[in-house]
Order: sequence, then C-alpha cells, then structure tokens
Amino acid sequence: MKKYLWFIPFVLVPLPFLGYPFLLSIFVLIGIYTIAAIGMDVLTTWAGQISIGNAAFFAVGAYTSAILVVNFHVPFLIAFLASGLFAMIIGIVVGLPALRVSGFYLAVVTMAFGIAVQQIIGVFQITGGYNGIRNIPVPSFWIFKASPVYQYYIVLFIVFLIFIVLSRISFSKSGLALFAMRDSEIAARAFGVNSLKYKLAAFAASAALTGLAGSLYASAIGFISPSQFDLTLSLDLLAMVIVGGTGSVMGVMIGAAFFVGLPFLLSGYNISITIIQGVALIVILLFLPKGLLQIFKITDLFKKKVI
Amino acid sequence: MILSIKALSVKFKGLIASNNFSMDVEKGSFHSLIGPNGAGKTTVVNALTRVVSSTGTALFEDVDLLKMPAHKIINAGVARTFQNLELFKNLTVMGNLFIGAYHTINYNFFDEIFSTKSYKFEQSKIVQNVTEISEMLDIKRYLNMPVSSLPYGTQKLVEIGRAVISKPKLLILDEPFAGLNDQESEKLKEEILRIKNLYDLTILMIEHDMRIVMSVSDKITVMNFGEKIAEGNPSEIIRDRKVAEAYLGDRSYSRS
Repeated sequence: MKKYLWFIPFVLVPLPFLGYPFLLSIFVLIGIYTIAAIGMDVLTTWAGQISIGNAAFFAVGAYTSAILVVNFHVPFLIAFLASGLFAMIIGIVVGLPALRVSGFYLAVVTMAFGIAVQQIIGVFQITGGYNGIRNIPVPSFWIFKASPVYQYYIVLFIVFLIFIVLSRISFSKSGLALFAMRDSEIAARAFGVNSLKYKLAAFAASAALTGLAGSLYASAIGFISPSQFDLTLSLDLLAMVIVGGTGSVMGVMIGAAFFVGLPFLLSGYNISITIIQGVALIVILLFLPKGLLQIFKITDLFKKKVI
Repeated sequence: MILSIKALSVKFKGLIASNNFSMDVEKGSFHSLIGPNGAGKTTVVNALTRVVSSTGTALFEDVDLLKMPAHKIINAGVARTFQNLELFKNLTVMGNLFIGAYHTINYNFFDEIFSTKSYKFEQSKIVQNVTEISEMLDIKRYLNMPVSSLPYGTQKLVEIGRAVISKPKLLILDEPFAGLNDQESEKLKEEILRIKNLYDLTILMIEHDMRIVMSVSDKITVMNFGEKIAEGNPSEIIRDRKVAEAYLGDRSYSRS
C-alpha cells in the first residue's frame, strides 16, 4: 500500500485552485502528456527501442476519438477506448520494422512514419484536412459536469491505473523479460524470451498509451489539426522522459510538467521560451544525467529492486 | 547419448567457421571442447543454441535443436553461459537469476496485473528458488545489487547460476575460466563439479586452461579450422600428435 501513498498529494492539488480553471486545465494537460510520455518510457527505457514518431499515435488517438464523438456521437468512454485500440493496432504495424532494424535506423523509420501520418491526416476529408476538427465536446456524464476539475481527476485516475499496472509487471515475468531483452537480446532469447513478441508488445503498449493520451487531449483542448502533431511533439515526448527521469512514472510526470508548465509560466514575459527551454535542457543533462528526479531523490520502488 | 551432432556446418559469407562437424556427448559426462583461437568452438555452441544458423543436425534427446527457434532451446533442456558475459547489466542479481527461471513460469499477463493467487504462488516459488541457488553459489549477499557493480569472478558465478536455475539437462559453458586468477579458478572448478553432481547435469565446456580441462573432463574433443581433429579421454589427447601440432605448430614446418 505504501507505494501508492505518493498519489495523495496529487488528489489534493486542485483544491486551492478551484477558482482558477485555467491553472487546472494546465494540470490536466500535464497529466495528459504524462500518459503519452509514459508510453515513450515503456518503449525506450523498458524495451530499449527508440521511436521519434510517437506523435503519430497521439494524432491517431486524438482523431479517432474526435471523429467518433463529433461525427458519430459515440459516448466519450467508448471513443476513448477505441482510440487506444486503434493506435495499438497501428503501433503493432509500426513495430514490425523494429524486428529487423534497431538504433539509428529504427529512429529514422519511426520518424518517417510520424511525418507520413501527419501528412495523411491533412489529406482526408473526414479528418477536416489541414483545418482540423473544431468544437470537440468536453465529456460529461453522471454527476460529473464538464469542468477542468473533473477532467483532472479522470486523468489522475488513469495515470494512477497505469502506475499500478507498471509497478506490478516490473518485477514479474513480462517486465523482467522486457528489461532482459533490452540489456542482452541474445541472452534473453537463450532463456526463452521471445524477443519478437515482446518488441511488438512494447510498441503496442506504447502506441496504446499515447493514443489514449491523444483522445484525452482532443477533448481537453477542443480543437485539433495536423500541425499540432509534428516532429517537435515526438521529440518533446522523448525529451520529457529524459529530462524528468527514465523508468519511473514520477520522473516522467516531472518531465511533462517541465515541458508543459514552463511555457505557461513564462508566457507573461517577453522572453523566447525556446531559448530558455533549450538552455534548461542542456543544464539538466549536464548536471543531472538521470533527470530532474535526481533532485527529489525519489527512487521508484521497483527501481530499487530490479534496475 | 544425450546430444548427437552430425555434419554441422556454419558459413559466414564464404568463411567456413565450422565444417561438417560431428560429435557425441554422453549423458552425465563432462565433455570439453578445445582448440586454438578461431577454431570454431564458440561457433558450434552458437549454432546449437540457434544464435547463428547452420546446416546439419543436432539431436538432443530425439529433438533436433537446429530446427528450433532460439527461445525454445531452453525448453528442450539446454542452457548456456557466454564467452564475454551476457548478463542483464541494469538488473540486480535477483533479476538476472529470475530470467533464468523465465521459461518455467506459468502465470500470464493478467495474473500479473491482478496479482492473482497463482501469480503470488509462482512468484514466491521463484524467489525461493533464486535464494537457494544464490546460497549454494555463495552470492546471496549480492542479490539486491546491480550485477554490473560486482567483480568479474562473481559475475561469472551469476551467469552460471542463471543457467542452473533453468534446470537444464545439458549445461554449456563457454570459457568459464577465462580471466580468472588461480584461486578463483580453483573455486569455480569446485562449484561446477558440485553443481554437476547435485543436479545430475551433463556439461559441455569450451576452455583454454589445459590444467582444468585435463582434470575435470571425461572426454575431450579437439577442433581446428572448423573441423574435429581429435577426440578421446584426457590421456589420449595429451599423447595425440595432431593436437600437439595444432597447439604448438607442425614440427616439420618449423624445422624448414
């Protein structure tokens, strides 16, 4: 039970900000990017594969959900699950080349995929072309009204679920098999790990998580267009993992907060965000090679045991 | 006969690493595979464990290893160690040994997520298994340490432990004594012999240290240039002229 306690502060966070919906919506965005960055973390830190095309899964999730909700009036929960599923299927397809190439080559393949998806979305009518989709409704059901607080708790709940699942599999058959495959594929296979299966599973999980995040993003922002899902987003997702701290939900959350929160904090001043973000990135990587998580000295529970 | 290799050939883009190699390993024996550097010993083991593809057959208890995918070899009962340590370097000793038992685990992904009864049962069984093996190899105090932080000799023990925990019938050791000092070698030799008796193992070992090879082997196969040049018990091998030539050079050649 103890390892779940660090979630309690997050449950209390919105209470002082109930009168500031804008601040709450930033927290919501941080949570959404956390989910997508966990998807990246699972692929890179857990399975040792690289992808700089994960923005495509984000886009697939966002568009699937938006089209289902806006055009077909499907309840959000179903659209949400469908977007995860659809992204997962595409993730498996993208994972296939990963069985043959790795490292830089895989990075280039996934990058090409990411750019291709962005272009394809721009062409189709149902996706609204380059103009995108507008007026995506914020989900509301039962006693919950469409409000940032409600969105916050939904996102927090999903992050919590993901954390439970990840911490449970991290010292189990499938988690350790992924770690083993990452460290030495040849030895992992000699001990019965089907690396083909696990590589595809890692891509599927990564894509599904990113797709789910995309679905939440579409409903939180209310407007999506191809330009939001460019190469920068893919790179940001990767950077979130590295800046925050690889291999832990907490680290990824810090990374997401850094990348989403900083622009909002600085938006009032007349400074270029890119420069500050760039400098901060370099400083962090120089002095905190394990990410911002190092400051807090919070080691993930499973990290102590396994990694 | 537990393993029978027939006409095993491995070619790397024109380079013949193993040519028509045949060899039988008796059940329960300690069989050594020796030969000069580059003779193709590791290639044979890599072919058996499907790391490299090859032609020929390798019957292990009536199943042909060369027809299996690499990840099924362990199910047949063949475990191995690697020449240049292939440990899972970011995992702890516990994590490394856990993967040794990977193929014996019956629970599935949903058992993991919902932490079911069978999950808890199997998980505790493996942890108990890991603890036993680590106690036997005297590495229990390192269980929660990252494997890459341990001394070389201890890492070798972990690799052997990982192979032993998979409960193999045939254990293949690829140069287990390389890089160890005399004391460490002596200790490892004792451990290997003890494990062999304890688990009723058949061992196939590649090794360069002749003193150890001669003292532990029931049978020795000598390779050179991808082919078998001699086979027999230690006293026969010591007296074999071809073996001496392979190691020390052809006398007629050196005279000219």
